[in-house]
Amino acid sequence: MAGEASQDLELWEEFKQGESKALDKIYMEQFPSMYSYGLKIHNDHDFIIDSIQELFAELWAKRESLGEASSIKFYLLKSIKRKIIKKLNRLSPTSSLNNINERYNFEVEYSIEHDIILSDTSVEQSQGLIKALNKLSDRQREIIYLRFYLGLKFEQISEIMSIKNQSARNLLFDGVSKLKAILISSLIIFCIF
Amino acid sequence: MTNKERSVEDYLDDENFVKSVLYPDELNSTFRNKLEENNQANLRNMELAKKIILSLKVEEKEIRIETIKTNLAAFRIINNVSEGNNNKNNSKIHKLVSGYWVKWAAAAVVVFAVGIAVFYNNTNQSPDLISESSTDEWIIKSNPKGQKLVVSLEDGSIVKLNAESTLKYHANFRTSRMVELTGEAFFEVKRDTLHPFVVKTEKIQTTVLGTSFNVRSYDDEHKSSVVVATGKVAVADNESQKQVILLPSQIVNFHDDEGFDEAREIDLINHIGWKDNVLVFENADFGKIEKELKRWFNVDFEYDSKPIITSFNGEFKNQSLENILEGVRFSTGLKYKLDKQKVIILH
Repeated sequence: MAGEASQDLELWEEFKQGESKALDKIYMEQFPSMYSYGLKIHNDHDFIIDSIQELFAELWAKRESLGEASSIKFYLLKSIKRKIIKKLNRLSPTSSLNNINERYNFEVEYSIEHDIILSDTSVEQSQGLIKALNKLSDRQREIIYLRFYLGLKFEQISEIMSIKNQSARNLLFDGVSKLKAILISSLIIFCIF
Repeated sequence: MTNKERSVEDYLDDENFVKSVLYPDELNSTFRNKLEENNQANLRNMELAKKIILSLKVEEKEIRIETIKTNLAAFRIINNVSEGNNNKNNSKIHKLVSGYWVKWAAAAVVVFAVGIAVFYNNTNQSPDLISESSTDEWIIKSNPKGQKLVVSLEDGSIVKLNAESTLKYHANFRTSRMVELTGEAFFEVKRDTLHPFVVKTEKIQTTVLGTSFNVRSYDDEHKSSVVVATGKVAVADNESQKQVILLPSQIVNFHDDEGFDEAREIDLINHIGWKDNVLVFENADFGKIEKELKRWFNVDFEYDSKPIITSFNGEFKNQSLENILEGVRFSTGLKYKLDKQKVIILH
């Protein structure tokens, strides 16, 4: 972990010094996460690509005055979210709430390969599971996504979502517990046989 | 090793565990080993945690490396990112010398020549030409020797295709502006900064946002070159990440065996004259003259031994084969006879 952080610090420093190689590396490596995360906030390919380009342009322009980044991924995810929300606010200024977390949905589609994964669950249980997934709040989906897919730490998640560290944890485990309850029954049957 | 009780939450909190579930190939083995030492309760919790993670799996819209690369090229064009250290290079930005390019002010022009551009054999990019064309998803425009062709693309861009050239692009060209080329073509690209226009050849790819440019990729040359008249383009090596930004009146060569050389200034008409029917010879030897005339006029040459011409210069606008041959004869003393579609060199 420490190695990762120091690698990031070094790469970021090179970026700040205007090294094109550092720019290329960061761009190529971070684009996929920024893109997928961005699409969940606002599902519009062109809009997201445009936002990423704008963000990189801003960072590149003021590179010499940028601060340190011990996690480039986290820094860019945080920045791209802010950028997207800002742009969305500009598009529809009518409902400009201060709390950005209420300003957007977090659209994910859970891949229903449950049929395969949960082959040992009954139809009712599968349906229950899908129902539980649908009941997750947008914020829960986002936390789950940031945590499980983009591998962020709780401190980072809470910062990105402007909530307390403990709230992020609670939201995640609250969502998960519903799934757990449904799955437990199926698993007991599975284990017995 | 004591078997500490671990809850479902503990597992979900364990980054490595989550990764091992999501990307089974990478870390699975460590957890398979752990699994064996675990007690029954842990095993159950682990199984539960695994199922929870899997049921939370999200449909992801894949973004292709190609797309990211193209966007990076566009980014570098827009933001003037040059190779190497940009903080020091700032003062070195090329001041453009006035020159031919003013003539082409309507748009940028790129010329590039690619040797051995046997695109369709390149399995990485286009697996199989025949199957692709049969699925009707690719549009292929081909030109024989002695002919030029104008192609209008869906996005409003226009391509002038030179003799003995092939242009290939996807039927849904509008969403991803990418063409593949062998031979030579002149492009006038509609500006759209969100959708970079990419010309691919076997060795390199050129990215523009909205310009006109000329691409040359005949398979009897062992280098590729790109020339810009106005605007800006990014030329990248297909294999490495090496990228060159070109400004008006500049050329860069990509040698099949050595890669890019330094970008330098050139005389545009020598490289893009063809599109206006201007055939230009610059220090041309006989081989070069023969090759160009064969291509332009679809003629054959006949000779016992190659005549020695080392440095012929000439510019022919809308000229017939007869007139061009006369021009060559006038300045080099070349003796020839024109017999239908055959140039017979006399001694």
